[in-house]
Amino acid sequence: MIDLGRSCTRYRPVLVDFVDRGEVHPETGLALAHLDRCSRCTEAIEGTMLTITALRRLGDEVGTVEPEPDAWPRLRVRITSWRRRPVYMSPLAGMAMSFAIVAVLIVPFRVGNGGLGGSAASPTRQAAPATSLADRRIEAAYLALSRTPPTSTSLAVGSVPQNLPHEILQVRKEVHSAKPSGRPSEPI
Amino acid sequence: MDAELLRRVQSDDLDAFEEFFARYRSSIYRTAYGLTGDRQAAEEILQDTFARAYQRRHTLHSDVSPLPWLHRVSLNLCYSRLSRRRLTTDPIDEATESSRADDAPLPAEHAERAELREIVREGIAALPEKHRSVVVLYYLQRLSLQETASVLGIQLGTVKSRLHYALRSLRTHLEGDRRFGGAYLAPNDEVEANAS
Repeated sequence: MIDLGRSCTRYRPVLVDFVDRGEVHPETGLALAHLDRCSRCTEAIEGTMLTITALRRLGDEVGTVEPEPDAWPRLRVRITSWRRRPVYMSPLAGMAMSFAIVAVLIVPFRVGNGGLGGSAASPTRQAAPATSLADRRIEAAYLALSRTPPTSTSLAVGSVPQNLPHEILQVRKEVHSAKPSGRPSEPI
Repeated sequence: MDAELLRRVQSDDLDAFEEFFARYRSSIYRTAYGLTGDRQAAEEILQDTFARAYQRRHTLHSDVSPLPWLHRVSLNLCYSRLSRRRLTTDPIDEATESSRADDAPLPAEHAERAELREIVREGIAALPEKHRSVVVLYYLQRLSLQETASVLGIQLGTVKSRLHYALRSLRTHLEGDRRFGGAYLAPNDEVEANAS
């Protein structure tokens, strides 16, 4: 009993090699004999031959195309720009420098909440007024102070300006010597 | 000759690099064009391939032809480009028209050929990447099986196997297209000569 399906699978690559490249395998004779009596393989090989012919025709036409005449001048410009570019440092040093720059830019934002960090992290308008009210009053006081020329009485060394807002004036505390209260001392 | 040229290229001789470019540009351009089907894309891939060759000139071996390496680079650039966007597969007609000035076929014949080219190009574009590569290098670029294997870095048997599957897929594609009648097959065709 002849299993034509299995023979087709076996012989078809051999037949394709033969019609495509003229390759002759030990089984080529058997494959051609199979081709004579197998209509499915005949149809498949005819279709393959048409496909190969179409590909070769396309190859003939692709083989005639050439790049634009200005291909080299454009490439030369590109290469020349690289050659002119000075090399400042090795790639390793460049990477180290990049890390250093990134660190310098990022560390002030990360460490603590000072500097630009507060405004960059929470750019809302509500955060500022709580602290700025007192600051503004102090600033206004200093501005007022700077407009009046200093006198020996108003701004003596170690003294406090008298026109500062009340809440920031220092309250002097009198320190007296301790008097005995009369109670017995507690054991330590 | 390649070795001497490569040595000059490696010593930063720009004139030698121009000669290197002139020697291999057509082959690389046609591979890129065969795969993308787009002249503009092929031009850009040509530029990028040789720009990379210039950057890597010190790593090229002077005892081996640089052509397989150049082909590999251009294939990779084609694939990355094709994966980014779907290129049109039409302009092969425009590209080949300019080269056929004197022996131009009759309009009807020309239209029929153009249509057949389009069908085949669509079939190639529909192939899986690895099958498309072997078809372009072997049938369109006319590299040998061994050269194709070398460019793709695969075994000779793998090239044959991929060609077999690619041909089968293409045949199915072409037979499924109503425009593909097979009438263009010339009586004195070389395939017939092989089969007889």
